[in-house]
Amino acid sequence: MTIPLIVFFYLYLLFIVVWLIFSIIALYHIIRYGQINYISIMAVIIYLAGVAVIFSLSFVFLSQIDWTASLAILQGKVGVFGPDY
Amino acid sequence: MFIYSLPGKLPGEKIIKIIRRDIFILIKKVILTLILIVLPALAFGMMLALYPNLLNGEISYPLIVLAVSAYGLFVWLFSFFSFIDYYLDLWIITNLRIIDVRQEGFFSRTVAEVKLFQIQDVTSELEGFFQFIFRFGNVYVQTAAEVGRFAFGQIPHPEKVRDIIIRLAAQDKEKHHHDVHHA
Repeated sequence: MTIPLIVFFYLYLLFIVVWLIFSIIALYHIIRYGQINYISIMAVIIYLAGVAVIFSLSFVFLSQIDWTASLAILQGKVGVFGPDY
Repeated sequence: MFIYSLPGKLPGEKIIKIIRRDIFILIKKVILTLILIVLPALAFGMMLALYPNLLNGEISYPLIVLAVSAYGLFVWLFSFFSFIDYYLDLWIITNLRIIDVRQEGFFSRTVAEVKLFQIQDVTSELEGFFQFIFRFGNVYVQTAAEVGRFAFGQIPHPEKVRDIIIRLAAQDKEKHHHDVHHA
């Protein structure tokens, strides 16, 4: 039995959607209920900068991957933990 | 730059002090975040030692990239929520009342208040090793209101906050007494 690698990417995208919802909730809370001062503004900027860095790095690494490959299950461990040289 | 809108602001009301939990509490949350980053990194390093070709696999490498990306986003969001949990919990002392604002979880927010003239007793408490070293603790305000006991938890210099509340409560009681008898 084989699972196409792209399935894991779709699961990752699903996680991103859920993560985005909670991110928006967090930003809403601090903007709506926090005081408008340097701390809250810096916190939002630092958070968004960190998100941008993580997404940029993820894009760089994920764009290099061949998503047409498949994961073989119950057929031995070839390729799962690296090539068996 | 400082803008804060008081919930249900009363005429002539001024903010005297805004209090949050001691910075030591935030430092604990930062340390927890660092643990969440370092421990999995160490575990991954150990796995690399066991399986040196882990990053060369046609399947393993994409799964690792997806997992690291997802985990990084999760930890970053977790740390942001930890900060918000610390930052949005606050106590506001005004010249007329004390307001307790608490963020509880994602979708729950509680705002409680007590008028200064209803305060009967104020107690400060500093208990524990870290509390004693870093001078943070609790203040308990006994009131005649529906909320019988008001608590400030893990705040810096609780004895100073106690003194401020006692002074303001005495002033407000005197003013309240004067207004009632000369109305």
